[in-house]
Amino acid sequence: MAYLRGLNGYYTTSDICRELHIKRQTALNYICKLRKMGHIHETIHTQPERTYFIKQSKKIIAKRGLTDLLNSLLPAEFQLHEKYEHFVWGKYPPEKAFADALKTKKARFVLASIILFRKIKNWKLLFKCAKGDRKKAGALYDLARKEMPKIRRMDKRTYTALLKSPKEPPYFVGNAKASADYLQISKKWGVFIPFSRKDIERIL
Amino acid sequence: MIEHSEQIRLFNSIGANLKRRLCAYAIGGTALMFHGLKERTKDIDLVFLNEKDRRNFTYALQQQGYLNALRNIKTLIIDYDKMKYKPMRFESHGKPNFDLFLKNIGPHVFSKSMKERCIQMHDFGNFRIFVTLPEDILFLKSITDRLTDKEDADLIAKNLNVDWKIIYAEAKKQKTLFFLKRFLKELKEQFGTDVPRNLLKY
Repeated sequence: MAYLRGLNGYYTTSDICRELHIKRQTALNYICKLRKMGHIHETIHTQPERTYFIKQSKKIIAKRGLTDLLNSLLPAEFQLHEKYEHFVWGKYPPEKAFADALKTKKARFVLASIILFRKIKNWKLLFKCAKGDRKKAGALYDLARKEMPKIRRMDKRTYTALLKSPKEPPYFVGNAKASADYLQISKKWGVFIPFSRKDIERIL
Repeated sequence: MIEHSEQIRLFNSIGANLKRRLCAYAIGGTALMFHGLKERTKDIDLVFLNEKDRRNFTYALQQQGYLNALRNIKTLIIDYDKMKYKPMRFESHGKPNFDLFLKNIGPHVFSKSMKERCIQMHDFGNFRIFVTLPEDILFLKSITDRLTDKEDADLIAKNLNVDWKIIYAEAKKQKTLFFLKRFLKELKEQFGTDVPRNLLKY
């Protein structure tokens, strides 16, 4: 790492100039690069110069969890609240979030998960993450394609694989039966979609 | 000793090695780091609620170069062979030790109420950690006699608004009130911690 050059600890701009034998502007450019790369863990506003805590390892920041991700996509009138503060350390793609939302078995979360189809691109990952709920995932995809604009089209291979996946419990939530609005989709996938058209309008 | 960022890196690498999602509850110094009260800890303490999850976790640890330190834990716990839910310890040179408990932490039980009180959930790939409340961490430390545990308890009491009712109720339920009161009395004498008077009376 050319910008690090053995820096490890608390440094001001003058310290970096002295340590690396570079000019002040070069040191400031290095600090900017290190901040973008995640090596500056702390910035302390000391006088007369700021002090930077530079480490060889990158700073890891938790990403927002399922509830925060869904709330960022949902309208203000339909927001979710959960008991847990959910932190994700690492990647949390929308495909994984969708599978997690289905697993919660909570009506509002399952309904809200439909909005994630606006972001889902990796159908192979969705297929892998939705193990155990594949038919439900496929049914919600059909529902999203019907009701929401600009949903990416799933490739035929994944769609067929979802359709041919093993039988699973048909209920999304509790013992809720299929609503009359989406009977055709429910019959095709062998699951009970409990949401009506009015429910879908609430999340759009 | 391990810092918080190194701990997260370690959990991420363990989570990447797990084939299926499993859950554990963080107690002790690990939990205090998630609460932002501590910067580093000596060991990583985790509680599992079923043996299958703990076994899968140990496989992932072994892939990281950890070995089961059965001999060492037997020297620490006298009645180890008589215990129903035996704790496990995994060690690796240059890395922090893992203490893996199953439902029980010594004479304390990781109760359903403790499980329901957790509000922080952290995902590291397929590894999900629930962080116990500081009140429950303090309660679980009340059975030991170690200075470091008393320092941690003092840290919790001084930096957070501790709900002593939760600790009292849990100790009463698990019939360890005597040990709790003794621990809190020692805490007040050694560190000057502000403890409610009714918890100091025997």
